[in-house]
Amino acid sequence: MSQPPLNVDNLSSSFSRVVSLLCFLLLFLLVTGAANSAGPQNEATPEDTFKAGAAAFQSGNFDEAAKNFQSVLAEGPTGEALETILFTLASTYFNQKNLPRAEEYYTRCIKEFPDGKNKTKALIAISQIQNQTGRKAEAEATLKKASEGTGDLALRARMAQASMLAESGKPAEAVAVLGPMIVGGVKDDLSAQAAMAIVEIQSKQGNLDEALKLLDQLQSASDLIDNPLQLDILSVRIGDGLLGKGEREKALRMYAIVRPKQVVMDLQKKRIEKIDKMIADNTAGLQKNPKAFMEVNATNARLKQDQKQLQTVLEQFEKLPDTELPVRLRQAKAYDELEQKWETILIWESLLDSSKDPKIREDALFSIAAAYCSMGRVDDGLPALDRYLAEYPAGKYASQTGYLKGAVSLEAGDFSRAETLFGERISRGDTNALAADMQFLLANTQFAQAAADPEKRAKYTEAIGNYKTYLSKYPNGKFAEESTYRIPLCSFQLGDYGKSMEGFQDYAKKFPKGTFIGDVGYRIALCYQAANKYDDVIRLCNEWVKQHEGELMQAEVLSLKGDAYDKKDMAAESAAAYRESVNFAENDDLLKYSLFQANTQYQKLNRWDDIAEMFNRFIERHPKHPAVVACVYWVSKAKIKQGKPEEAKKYLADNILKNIGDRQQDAVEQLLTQLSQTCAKRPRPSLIASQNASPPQESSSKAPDDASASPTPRPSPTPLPPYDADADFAKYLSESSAGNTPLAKARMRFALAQLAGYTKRQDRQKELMASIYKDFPADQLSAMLLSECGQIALERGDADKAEAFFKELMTSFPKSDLLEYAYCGMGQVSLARNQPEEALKWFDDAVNKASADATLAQVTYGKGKALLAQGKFDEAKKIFEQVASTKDWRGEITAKALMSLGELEEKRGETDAAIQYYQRVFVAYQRYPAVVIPAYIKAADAFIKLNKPEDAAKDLKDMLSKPRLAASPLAEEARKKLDALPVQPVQSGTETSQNPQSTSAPAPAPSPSKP
Amino acid sequence: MSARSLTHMILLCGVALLVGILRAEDITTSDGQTFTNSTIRRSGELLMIKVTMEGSTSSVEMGLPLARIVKVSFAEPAELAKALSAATKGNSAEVLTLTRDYVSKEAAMKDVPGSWWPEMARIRLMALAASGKDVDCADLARQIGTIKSAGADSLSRAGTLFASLATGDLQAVIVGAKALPRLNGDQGSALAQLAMGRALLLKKDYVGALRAFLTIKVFYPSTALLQPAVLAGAAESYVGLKDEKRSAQCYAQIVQEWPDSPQAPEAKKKAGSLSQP
Repeated sequence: MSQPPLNVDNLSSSFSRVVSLLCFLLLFLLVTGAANSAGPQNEATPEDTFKAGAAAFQSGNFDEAAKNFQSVLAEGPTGEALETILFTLASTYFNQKNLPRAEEYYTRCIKEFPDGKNKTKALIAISQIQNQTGRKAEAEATLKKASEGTGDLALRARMAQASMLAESGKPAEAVAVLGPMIVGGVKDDLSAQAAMAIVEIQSKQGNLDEALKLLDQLQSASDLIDNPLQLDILSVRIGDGLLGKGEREKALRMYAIVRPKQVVMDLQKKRIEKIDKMIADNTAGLQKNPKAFMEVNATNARLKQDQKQLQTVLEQFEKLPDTELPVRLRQAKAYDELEQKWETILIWESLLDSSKDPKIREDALFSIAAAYCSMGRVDDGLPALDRYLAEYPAGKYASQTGYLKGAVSLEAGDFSRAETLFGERISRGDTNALAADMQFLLANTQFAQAAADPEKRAKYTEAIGNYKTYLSKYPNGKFAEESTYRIPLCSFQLGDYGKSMEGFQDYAKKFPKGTFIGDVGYRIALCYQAANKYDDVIRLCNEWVKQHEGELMQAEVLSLKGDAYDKKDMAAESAAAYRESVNFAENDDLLKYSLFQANTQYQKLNRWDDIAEMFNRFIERHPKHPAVVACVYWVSKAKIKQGKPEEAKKYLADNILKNIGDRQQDAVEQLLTQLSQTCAKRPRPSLIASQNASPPQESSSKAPDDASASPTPRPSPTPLPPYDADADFAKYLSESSAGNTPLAKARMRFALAQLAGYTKRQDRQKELMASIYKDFPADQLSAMLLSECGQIALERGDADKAEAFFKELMTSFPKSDLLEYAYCGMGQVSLARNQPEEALKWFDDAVNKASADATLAQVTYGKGKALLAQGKFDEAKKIFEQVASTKDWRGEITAKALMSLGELEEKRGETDAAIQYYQRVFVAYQRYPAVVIPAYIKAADAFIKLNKPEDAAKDLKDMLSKPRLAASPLAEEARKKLDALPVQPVQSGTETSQNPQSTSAPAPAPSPSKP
Repeated sequence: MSARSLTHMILLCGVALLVGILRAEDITTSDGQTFTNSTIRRSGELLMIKVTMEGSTSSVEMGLPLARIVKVSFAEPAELAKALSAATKGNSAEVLTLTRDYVSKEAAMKDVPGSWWPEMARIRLMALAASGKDVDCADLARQIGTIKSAGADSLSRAGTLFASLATGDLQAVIVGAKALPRLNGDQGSALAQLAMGRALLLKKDYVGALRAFLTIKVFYPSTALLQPAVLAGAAESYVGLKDEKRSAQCYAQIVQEWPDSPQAPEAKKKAGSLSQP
């Protein structure tokens, strides 16, 4: 954007007319003032003569005035009267333009009264005469003398002296003369004038820093400045100088001094009005003190001159263009270059408020939007861009605005919107400089959508089309290379490896040193991997490493090589490749993948030494890596395998204690579990150790020829003392060593609960876990404990508390592997609250956002429950059947799915079908009493509904005959139900019930009596 | 300076001839009377002047209504220049030390024409606001409000907003601050923006707070005393907006440009912590 020119004409050049008028008035005042101060008045003739002289002076008759004053002088006045008449006479000659006589009397006045009250005034007048008669050096010296006095006049003399020095090419001396006037800061008219004069001199000399300091002070005292426009001009001049030197911050301080024209004018008008009031007040005061007539008159005359001067400045100022606009534009530019975007926005907004110029408005609207966009503030940027387009749909920035809107949406991850925006502009035939970029970005938005959402994979095809369009329209465009790369990349993502490889090979030919050549080589190898050509993959990976050693993709290539060897069942080679990949990987995901794949390969080879060494090295190299605690787990496991359980336990405990207070270390619970498990069992000698140890004595002594010999009888071993797992655990970890933080305490309880579980004390385990749920607030717990506590809350029917745990898990551990438990749990919470729609969303999120794996069965079952609650029976049935038929999920969830299928059929009125599902539950899933007992009860209810109380009674009796089920609190309901049924006649004979378990039932239930 | 301006200056010198040279203790009334070497004291709306009679060693005290006084030539307090110098460095603590006694002892003369009290009080007010001494700031603002001038009125209105800030009446701060011109105002406007920025920060309206703070930085850069507080407020706002880079820049700017300010030690710590990855 170009900046409008700044008018910096100096207003002071138009003062000459005012000066002439002032000259006359000054001399008039000099005389009247002198007359008034001529001392005691009496009836003597000299006074009459003096008055006559004053009257002549007032009428402009200076000859007559001089004659009268000479007469007074001839009377021989002395003292103050003499000083006054000499000064008055000198002033009269000055006005008469009789400069020699004027100088003579001023000089005499000073000579006879060297300390007189008129000394400074006389010196100033003499210096002016000397200046007017071309004696500048003398004038300067005289002014210097005048400035040595005290009071305002001496200071004004000092200013005049400085002015002369500056004009005669002595700026440093001028500044030295003015300097003392601002020592105490800018606090009155004179110090403000001195400061302004110094600023002007310094800025002309290029001493911008000195000028800047003073201008800062002047801004604070701007109401003292007679000529505000001059302040603005100086500020802009210095600001431009600083901006030219690249000193933007300093320049900005200068530009900030400039005030809008209207503000300056209002200020000036107020000052003018204030003088009116002062004059009126002075005049009113005369009524009380008429004798002060001359003084008041003089004061008012001075005030009127000041007012006139202010008025003149104002009138000239009004004719000038406003300086605010060009200054604000400079400010906006400087802030923008400093990347201070918020400041840029404030400046443009101020212009929006103050300027009526539509061009400025257009610039402002666009610049504000652009600043928001550059800060990535999409929510502010998009409305600002829309506002621009609404006001200037065909404006000069319309195309840029469209581009920015798309780019901002793309940046914000709103790819669909970005696609629409770029698509719209391209379809309008936008041909400006950004059209090529928009074509490329349009394809990128489609690529990004396909990559983000598997359901939008078709967008890859659209992206290919648009990349191709880009290449055909702009074959040499700046994105030609990337488009050539992205086309096969899309095919790759679509699984079309044939086309993909063709495209990548084409890229490699065209751009053998291209930006993406490394990635292309890797992907070609991936294509071979997809085609199961593992030897080719290994060959290509080796070639890649030779050609691109040390490049970004090396870790990926080595990992791929590991995959290929794995497919060929070459565990040692595979492990080696993965290990090498770990050394190069920078990406966390890849690092973890290669590390744990290498671990898997080593386990296949039973190389626990390598496992320990690998994880130990990883811990050393990446001590802060989130996988470190998991590595500790594997090192400890290796130690156990190596027959060093004590060492393993100590190692585990040491690492647990290092991390027990860190909420973000998910794997601490894994270590605690490992320690508990290890402590739960009495240590046994190492398998590896025994394998590697010398053969046992008896084996070595056993000769093959002794095979027929009967074994030597051995004494029974001495029974070992009972093993105390808790005591063993306490040797490594205890509450006192774990610390007092809530998290450490909770984790300790978790560990003890695990230990209780491993030592078959399930009640104790439940009790400890429940105590965590009860005693610790959600915001103190780790991800694992939050997940566990959420489940406990759900089991106890406390949906609110469950929600608190799960939401804390989602908020504080957004990247946790346990996130799926939170989403699944929230789905269950919603089900408990009978909010099936909400539940479905959570279950979908569990799959889409948390890639549910461990909870997939629960999630799927939950979706079925939600659909059932919504009355969508067919959809629900499909899901329950899927759960019930998935072999990998077989267990309690299968029983629940069957149970739900029964409920579903009941809701449909298919009671018989429902009974069959209930019976399948208690036939096949007796291990799950929490599901089986309700299944018995529901089956009984269904029989009663079908008016088959005998069948109902039979099922209930069957249930109650099983001690484990009969002992459950849930069995009470079954008992009551059975008691309520009509008494059955005792029948002999074989049970004919359809109950497939009837053969195992202890006693056949009697058939109900029929009415 | 041109020859014309020199002439003009000399003529202006002449204009002042009749006024006479006032000494530090001189008093000028609106009817042109001057009293020299006077000892003064304040009594209600009167300024009591002790005048030594001509040709006598005895003195009399007379009362002059304040309305009649054009100017009293008070001697400039020695602390003023030092306080102004400290203010340019954003050194609020030193400003508060230098202005405390004067503002407290000379308050009686605050509305006497020519008094240095308004200037000393103005600097002190800014320093109080910049130091977070909200209650003291509001108290002083109320005193300034008794002076009849546009500048004093604006400063007083802005300064009293800090009372509401101290009591947590944030809405009152915001409404009060908006009643003063945001742009093209005086130092009162800058002060009001500071109060508003702090109020909005407490309300977690980070964008609003940032805009208020930066308004002072952009449009009132000469209010040196406020600048460190403004930068600290902007830095906090940036943190709220998750823009740690700009926040760190603000803290670094405080450390670099306003090392004597009360915000500097904390800024140094925060700049360090924010610059760490």
